[in-house]
Amino acid sequence: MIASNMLNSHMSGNFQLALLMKLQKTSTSQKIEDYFDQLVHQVNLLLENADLSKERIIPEAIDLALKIKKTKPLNKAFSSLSKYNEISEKDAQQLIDILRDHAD
Amino acid sequence: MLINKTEIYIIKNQLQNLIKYPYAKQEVQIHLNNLINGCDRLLDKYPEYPEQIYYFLSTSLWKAVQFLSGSTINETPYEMVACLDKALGDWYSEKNSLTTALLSEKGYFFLSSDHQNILKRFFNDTLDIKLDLDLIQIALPKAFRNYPLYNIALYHELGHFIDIKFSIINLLLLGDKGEGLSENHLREHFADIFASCYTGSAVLWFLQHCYGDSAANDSHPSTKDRILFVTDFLKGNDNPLINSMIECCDITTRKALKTKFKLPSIEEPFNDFRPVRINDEAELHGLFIAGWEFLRNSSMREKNSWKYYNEFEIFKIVNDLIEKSIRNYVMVEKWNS
Repeated sequence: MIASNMLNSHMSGNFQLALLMKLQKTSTSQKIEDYFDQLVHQVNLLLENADLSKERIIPEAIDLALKIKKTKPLNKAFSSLSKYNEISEKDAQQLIDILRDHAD
Repeated sequence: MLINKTEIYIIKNQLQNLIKYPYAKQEVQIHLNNLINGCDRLLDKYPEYPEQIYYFLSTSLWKAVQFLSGSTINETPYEMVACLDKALGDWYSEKNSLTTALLSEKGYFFLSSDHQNILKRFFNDTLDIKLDLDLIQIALPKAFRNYPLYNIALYHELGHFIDIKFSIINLLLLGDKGEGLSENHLREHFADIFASCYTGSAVLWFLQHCYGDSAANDSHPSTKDRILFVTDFLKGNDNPLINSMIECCDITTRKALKTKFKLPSIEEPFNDFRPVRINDEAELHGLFIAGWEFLRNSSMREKNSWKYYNEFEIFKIVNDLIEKSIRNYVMVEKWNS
């Protein structure tokens, strides 16, 4: 099962949960969407080596940024991400597949 | 697939069984009740969410059962948990509870779980059930339960927990500041210097005592390198890797990685076989250093009474005196609060 493979990786759990909910067309709360958007924003800052002194960094953003840096296909798929409500099911599926294939 | 529904039902029963046992903290009892309510809500709503979500959540609930089952009030090494609680409070402000597992083998670990974050987010944001307690599990050898001088290893394990929780070494790796060391070795060095923030040179004696002159392997650096690294940190020697660790710790936790101990004077009371009066948290952590020094330095044991005991008995008595000193401090603190 997708979920069992994904849970082998202890990192990025909420990111994956949000993608899974998108993929399954499950209604999400605004809080989950906001968290996802903030996460994506921070990952991009980390990957750009931006000044983070004023940000309260979400640890999951660091874990995810490191994983993206180490995983080329994830880097490519992640670069097209922006807001949670703009993600297509196809994008969500692609990201889940990559995370599953590159689980730690 | 009904199997996921059945699994959540079984987990709920497991959680209900745990209610029978008392926990040291009332928050844990509340957390347990909230988990049970969450299971009820998930079962009521079945099959509102996709099977994969139920599977995802049931896996996380299993972890919660594991964390809660080994930490009833009778099992917990109360004094050690009290010291670790203080250290944890320096770094982590989320509501948390240390739970314990006593192992039959010689091993230590500190375990947090990303599964809990998933549960918290889903329960709070989707099921509208407040789940705000972070469960952190410490495991130690059952045989060492009453030997706090051995259990200073748990400060090292706490260092691993803080590293993982705040992604400190991951930030270091992201910035390519690992000085060519493997991820495992970086994490061990970080945990060592974290432990030395509280237990200073006792870390060095502990490493020598427990690991001798072990060579490096995939998981751990050599004892010699570990000792050199901690020594550099404690002496404030310029070391680029230590500087990077301090910087990454500062960015991720907004807290300074620095020594937080003060040595209490234990010679006089310990020579009278009395616990020492601890004045503050810094002395509480420093007690471990003082205890190791007392054991290592026979000239500190000036009273003739010590000569009637062999080295094993001395080790046991010193550990007992340390436990009693910690217990007295915690009781006075609670009394005054």
